[in-house]
Amino acid sequence: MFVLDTLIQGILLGGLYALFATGLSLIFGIMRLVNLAHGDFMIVGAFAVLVLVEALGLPIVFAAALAGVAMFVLGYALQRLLLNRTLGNDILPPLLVTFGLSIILQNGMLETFSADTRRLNLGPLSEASIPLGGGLAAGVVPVLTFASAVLVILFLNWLFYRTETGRAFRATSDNPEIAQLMGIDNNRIFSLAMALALVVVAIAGLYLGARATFDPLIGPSRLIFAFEAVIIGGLGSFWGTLIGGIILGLAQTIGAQVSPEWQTLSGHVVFLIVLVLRPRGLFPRSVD
Amino acid sequence: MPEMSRYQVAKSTRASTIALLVLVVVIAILVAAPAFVSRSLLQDLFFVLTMVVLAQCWNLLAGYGGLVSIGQQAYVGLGAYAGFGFAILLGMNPLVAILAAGVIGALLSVPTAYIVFRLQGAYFAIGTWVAAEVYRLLFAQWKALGGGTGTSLPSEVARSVWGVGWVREVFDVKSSAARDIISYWVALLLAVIVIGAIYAFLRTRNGLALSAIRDNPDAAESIGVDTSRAKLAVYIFAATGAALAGALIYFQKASITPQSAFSVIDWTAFVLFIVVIGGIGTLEGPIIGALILFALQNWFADYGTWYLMALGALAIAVMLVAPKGIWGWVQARYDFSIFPTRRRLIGPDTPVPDYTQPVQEVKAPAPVGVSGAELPNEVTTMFDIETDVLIIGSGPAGGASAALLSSYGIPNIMIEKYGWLANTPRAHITNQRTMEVLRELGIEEEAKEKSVPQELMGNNVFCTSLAGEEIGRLLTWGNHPSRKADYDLASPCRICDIPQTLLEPIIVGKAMETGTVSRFKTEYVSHMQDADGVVATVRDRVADQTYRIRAKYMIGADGARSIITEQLGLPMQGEMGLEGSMNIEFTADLSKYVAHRPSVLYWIFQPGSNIGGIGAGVIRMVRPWNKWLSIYGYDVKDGPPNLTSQEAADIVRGLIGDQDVDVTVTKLSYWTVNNMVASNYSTGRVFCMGDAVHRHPPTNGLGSNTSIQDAYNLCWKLKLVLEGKADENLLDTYNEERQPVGRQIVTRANKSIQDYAPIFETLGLLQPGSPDDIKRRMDARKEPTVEADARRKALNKYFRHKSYEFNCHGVELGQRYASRAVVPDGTPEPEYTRDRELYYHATTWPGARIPHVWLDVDQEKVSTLDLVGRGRFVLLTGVSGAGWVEAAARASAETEVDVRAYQIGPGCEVNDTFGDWAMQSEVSDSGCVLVRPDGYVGWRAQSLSAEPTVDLTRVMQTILGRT
Ligand SMILES: Cc1cc2nc3c(=O)[nH]c(=O)nc-3n(C[C@H](O)[C@H](O)[C@H](O)COP(=O)(O)OP(=O)(O)OC[C@H]3O[C@@H](n4cnc5c(N)ncnc54)[C@H](O)[C@@H]3O)c2cc1C
Repeated sequence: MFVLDTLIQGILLGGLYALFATGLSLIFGIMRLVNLAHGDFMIVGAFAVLVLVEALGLPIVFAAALAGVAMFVLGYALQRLLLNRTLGNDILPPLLVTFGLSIILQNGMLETFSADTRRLNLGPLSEASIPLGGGLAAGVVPVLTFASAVLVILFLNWLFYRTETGRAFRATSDNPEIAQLMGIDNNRIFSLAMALALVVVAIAGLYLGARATFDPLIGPSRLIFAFEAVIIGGLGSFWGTLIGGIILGLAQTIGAQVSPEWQTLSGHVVFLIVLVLRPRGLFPRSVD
Repeated sequence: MPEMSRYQVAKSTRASTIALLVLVVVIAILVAAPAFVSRSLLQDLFFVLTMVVLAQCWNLLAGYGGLVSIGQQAYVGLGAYAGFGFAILLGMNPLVAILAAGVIGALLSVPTAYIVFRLQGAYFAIGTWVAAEVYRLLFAQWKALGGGTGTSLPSEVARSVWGVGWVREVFDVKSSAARDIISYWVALLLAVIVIGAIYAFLRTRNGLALSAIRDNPDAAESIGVDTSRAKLAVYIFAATGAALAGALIYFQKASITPQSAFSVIDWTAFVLFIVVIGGIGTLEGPIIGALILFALQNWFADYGTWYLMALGALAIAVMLVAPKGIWGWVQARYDFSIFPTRRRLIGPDTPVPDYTQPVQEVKAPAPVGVSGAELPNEVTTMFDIETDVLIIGSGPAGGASAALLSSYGIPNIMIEKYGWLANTPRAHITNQRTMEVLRELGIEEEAKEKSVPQELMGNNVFCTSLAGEEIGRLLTWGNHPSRKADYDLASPCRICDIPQTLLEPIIVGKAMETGTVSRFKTEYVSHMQDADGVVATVRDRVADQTYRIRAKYMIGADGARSIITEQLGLPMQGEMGLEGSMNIEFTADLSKYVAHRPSVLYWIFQPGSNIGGIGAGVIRMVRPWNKWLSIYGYDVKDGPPNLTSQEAADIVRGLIGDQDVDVTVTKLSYWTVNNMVASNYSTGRVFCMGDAVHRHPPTNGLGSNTSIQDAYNLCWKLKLVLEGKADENLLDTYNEERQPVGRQIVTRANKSIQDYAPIFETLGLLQPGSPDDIKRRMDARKEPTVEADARRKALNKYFRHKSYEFNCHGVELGQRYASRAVVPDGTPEPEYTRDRELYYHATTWPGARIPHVWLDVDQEKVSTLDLVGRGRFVLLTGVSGAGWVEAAARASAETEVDVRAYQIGPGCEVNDTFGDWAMQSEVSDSGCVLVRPDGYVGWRAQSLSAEPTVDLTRVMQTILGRT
């Protein structure tokens, strides 16, 4: 029973990590950019929802939708105005610029919202759970999180493989120069991808805030989880990312059973083991 | 892009000697500082020095080793904890403990590297961070040192530092101040050692190799340096330095927590900002950056979060605006260096140097008519003239179509907007496959007479000016002995150089001689289609009258500014007008500079010649050695510069490098680089070809060649359909077969442009600078140093790599088609045993061009290519293939399509005197190879089948689209 419960909690936690990771994976897949401010943007998303709910009194669903739109615009502008200028053969500029952004975001939020920990209140939903029989139960929010992760991945897969935009994404990711030759405006595609990624990030932020407390400075640690999920799953496949998230979630949940201090550490350890044994992740995509 | 250190040393000897003297004085003053500065200033200096150490280590990693880590806090924390552990738990003297901590850092960095080196680039960065997190979480478990909450240094440990007593006496201070002084000295010593060690390392073979890897991985490998070992060495060194600094810093702080010791902000973010702001890839940059950070910290740290945000923004701004940081800027301006080693140029937006551009259109654009707009519907039955095929444009594509159709006896009309053919020599390289088409048309000899032969084409020279230094030379167009055989074996024809101005009249002359009706000064305006044909509206520009031509099919060969493709709405992918370039045609006797190294192209790398579209000046032979064409770039944003002949002549004399040479500019035209390919070549009864559907730079010299080959593919199909012998769907295979070729050559031509980038980079031509600077950078490869050697090797390699442009035999004639007009024989596609772009792979596999071998017909040497073509299918078989000969006759009768059979072998009509056909046919003596009118294999059989007539008829019907 106890084991089963741990497994369920771990898998559900994995859904959250998959949400964290999908945006990162999307961006890296398309433009080979690792956004070091990714975690901080999730926190920005969480705060955006919080502000809309608390200050404007909007229902959380509206608030989340609005935050999603805002993040879309933010992502587009960010890529168009700043990040596109950093792309190239040298990996340092994008790393440094997003690192700088991360610090700006953290301190900006610190200045605006103070270091207090916050939480998104989903009302009765927060505590609700679905009984699974045999004394087992799954929290509604974790289940919602997991379902959202699956939906997001389904959506992205549809977008990638069934639409014109997706075709352009894939073409650009395969070979930006050729894509350009084919009349694809890489800058626009990259901006669109970042916009999309930040919408996913907003969704991640929503659940991050709803599942646990957050403060302006926890972004980087969430970035690390996201990164681990991506690498464990293997670059290039969203489903791989989901599985990576689940493995990380399981590792952390099981680790936490041993000792609370071991929660994060055991996630890292599993990550390192995967890295040693399967450097390309568990489900690498050989051809895109 | 490397700056040439060696050279700089030579140039800056005086400056850097003085700088070194100053350095020694500065160090001396710093050593003596405790005697005359306040304790708080000393503490500040301690901070600066430790930051310098960390920044130098990170700079070595990222700036020189290309290992962008954001996990160096791992080693700061490790060092700090190890130091505390040794001192508190083992009672070591802190000074010894610092050294021991360094050893621990070095030891642990090895397994860490084992893991994080599995990740590349940005993922390496985060990987190092995860590693640091793991260390942090592990040390938070170390209960003896306070676990998660950390611990303080017991005062007896602090007091045990060696030398405290002596310092107290000498400087007459309290023991806490004495400890500060000692810490400061240790920090100073550490900084000097770290900088000195990095400096020394960078000048060793490994260090130079490291810079070489960063600048150019292949070159580094070519001088035999194990790059992964050099990187590992750097990683361990940086880890050791950080651990030493960490231990020192925390002994000075006297308390430790996992959060602070492994802080990514304190030990990585700040360090990164220091290096980037100061100047990455230099030894001076981190020092300057540390001082700046210190100043900012002093003035603004009170602003807390705002200060940090501003710092982040500053680093971003520096990265975007001046990626080489402050010191990089100083260096660029004053060309000065205290520590001369090579340095890094971050992410230059490599301007793409290209060669002669793609399609140029020298004539004025036509007023564009709207398709069908002025034609009421029923008008398709109203017309003034009628023909089978209407050809728009008399360039290589249109001209070849006209000549081929006429040779097949198909009535055709060709219209051309202007009064005559090409008025400027654009295309010139004419490859073997094109010569084969001309051979079939019976104009090979005439073209050869007007051409410059292969032997005079190939000393492709790269130089600073014709009169100046030659940097390198590549034997091109099959002139290298090892490639000559490949070229000779592949075709009965030779590659040659014939300017478009001379070739077009030959082709069009042949066309008109054999039946083509040509209308010059006649402009295509628009067209309409119905089920049976096309009605085009054209305008006679002499009489200014419009009339209509009805044709069953229309060929749109109206060049790069095609209005037909536009009116049809063919899907075009890519861009036009990317770069600006000009052609300066001139006459001058340049024999003394070129006759000893005859070539069609001379590449001039000199200051100023890299501005604009083309990156280097080109002098192209038009006629040896007195008619020339220079290609020179302009910034496409500013539009064509409208030079006077005088200014143009000056440019030319600059490229020649001789002010006294007599230059007469005869013509000036401007054109742009385009990159575009249509993903579909036809709509209904209109087929487009040539530059209308593939527009690309002139690199590889494929434009006119491909245009003519497009025509060769389409025309026999049109013939068979017009004669009612093939179904219309045979015409679909034109697109299926030729569009991939268009895509391939557009890609190839563009890649060839990009391949110039590393040459310019290695020569140091991409960096700005005075002519002197550039010359100095170009000369850097002449030094007897390892680094210069790497540069020489790299250059050699890049020049050789240009064979992908100049000896690209596989792309010139190696295409294989896959379509319904090719019937598989069930055998797998033969493998490419050599590079498929560089080498032509002969095979009779269906879809490939029939291999050339010399045969004998009545004592006359005849190529396989001479047996095929002329609008007929040809079946080649051996002595035991009589069954096929009969089958061919019957299949011919059945399909009404001419299938001519030849038996090849002793006693046959065609003798295989050399035995080459036996070696190359890939079928047995009783097998057969069916060749389409365009010389491509349509089908083959390994041996005589049970029912050869049935099989052959079926295959013919399939090819003709009638099944
Ligand atoms: C500098 C330079 C060097 C090159 N070097 C090489 C090389 O070495 N080898 C090579 O193979 N290629 C080379 N090329 C490319 C080559 O010139 C072109 O690919 C080739 O000319 C294309 O042939 P085309 O028949 O498709 O088009 P074009 O040669 O452009 O012919 C189109 C014709 O259609 C006519 N036309 C246009 N509109 C109308 C209308 N509305 N009505 C009637 N007529 C119209 C035009 O006047 C023109 O005569 C080079 C190009 C440049 C610019």
